[in-house]
Amino acid sequence: MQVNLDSWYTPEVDRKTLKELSRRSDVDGIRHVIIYFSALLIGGILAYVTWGSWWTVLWFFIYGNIFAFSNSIQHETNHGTFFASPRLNLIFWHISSFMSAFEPIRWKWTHFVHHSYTLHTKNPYDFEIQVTRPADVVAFFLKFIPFGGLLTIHKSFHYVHKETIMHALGIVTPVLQQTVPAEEQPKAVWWARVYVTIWLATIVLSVVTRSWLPVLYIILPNFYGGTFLTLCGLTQHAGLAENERDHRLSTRTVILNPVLSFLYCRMEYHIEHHIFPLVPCHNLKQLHEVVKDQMPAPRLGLISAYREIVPAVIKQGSDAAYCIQVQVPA
Amino acid sequence: MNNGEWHQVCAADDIDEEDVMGFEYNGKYYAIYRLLGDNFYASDGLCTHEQVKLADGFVFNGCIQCPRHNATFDVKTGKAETPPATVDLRSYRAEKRGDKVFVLLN
Repeated sequence: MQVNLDSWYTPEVDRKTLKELSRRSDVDGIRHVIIYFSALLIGGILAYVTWGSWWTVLWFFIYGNIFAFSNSIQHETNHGTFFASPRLNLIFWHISSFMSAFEPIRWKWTHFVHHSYTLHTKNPYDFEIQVTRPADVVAFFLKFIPFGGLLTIHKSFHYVHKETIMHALGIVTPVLQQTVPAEEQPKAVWWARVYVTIWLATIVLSVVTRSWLPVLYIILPNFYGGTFLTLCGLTQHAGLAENERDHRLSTRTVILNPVLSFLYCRMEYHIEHHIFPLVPCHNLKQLHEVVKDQMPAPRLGLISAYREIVPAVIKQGSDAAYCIQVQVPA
Repeated sequence: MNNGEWHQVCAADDIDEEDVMGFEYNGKYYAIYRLLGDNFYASDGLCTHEQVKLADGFVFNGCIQCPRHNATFDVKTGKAETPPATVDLRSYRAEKRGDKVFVLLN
């Protein structure tokens, strides 16, 4: 497989500046996980102490949404850029992979493909396309609703839990076959079996203790708490062009408020992340400032982003070729 | 690795400490690295994963990071340290002579 980096659009950036921005930091990563897991713990405790009252619904919603943002840590540790220390990256990669139900070997390799061939639909296929075409408009809107994704699981070919169970059973799915090297596939199956075993143990614990709490804390947060992660995550590419070698046409940068930006690990600067994946998430805001004159204007907030995404996805439901036309600086 | 000819590649000052530069010779792409001081090393210039130019990446802690997927290679040995690269880079001897840098190429 050959990737000619020269044929992808790359903005002008002073090399020394880019190198400084690419420098990793344990301090930034450790500060992030301390704040993140503290917030998760507080949300979890408040959900527990209010158990039996309606307040618990609110606190589990908050806990679940914080929990689901473990996916952002998974993504950054997958790149190996969240910490300077490889060991810290590895530890939190495994923790966050389990929390987000992203079996780590599959997602490591599909993410390599995603960065080489962002939103490419053939040779090879980017298995991380979030809204495939023609768009299933109902499925698109269900993604934002707690447990909504389950209603269309029969249509989803890489719904994470379903896929992990298939891998645990030894079924070689297309994503495993096409993106994970043969020598790595047994590792993916092994990790899938570990995940499914823990999920089953959690369900057994819930049954034995006659309590919903184990599954509410460990398995279900990704089902009932994915709303804000999905709101952030679908801004990355939804409605934009496929099969382009210019990330400005296939990818979107959005300016988020500080709370979502933190939880989302600065991935709202998504064009910048795709063009320069060596830059740790902690430095993406600075990178954005350096390159913004060469980028399309970012969408200012989620509402602004969805004002262009929703009509585009609805149109893509009947016109698979449609995409948003992005104005890039000359 | 001792068979071959020494080729002048660049001036020593062309590369900063802990940096990399690419060069072509006989239609093949190579990378030359400078670690702290006047320690120069050379290797094949394309990542063994997907043939991306390593000179577009950065040298940190004695390793070159591929700019596309963050595969890292030990600059001194060419050893592939992190995935997605699983195949080592071929290394070549490099020396500073005066203010020039030479690489022994086959």
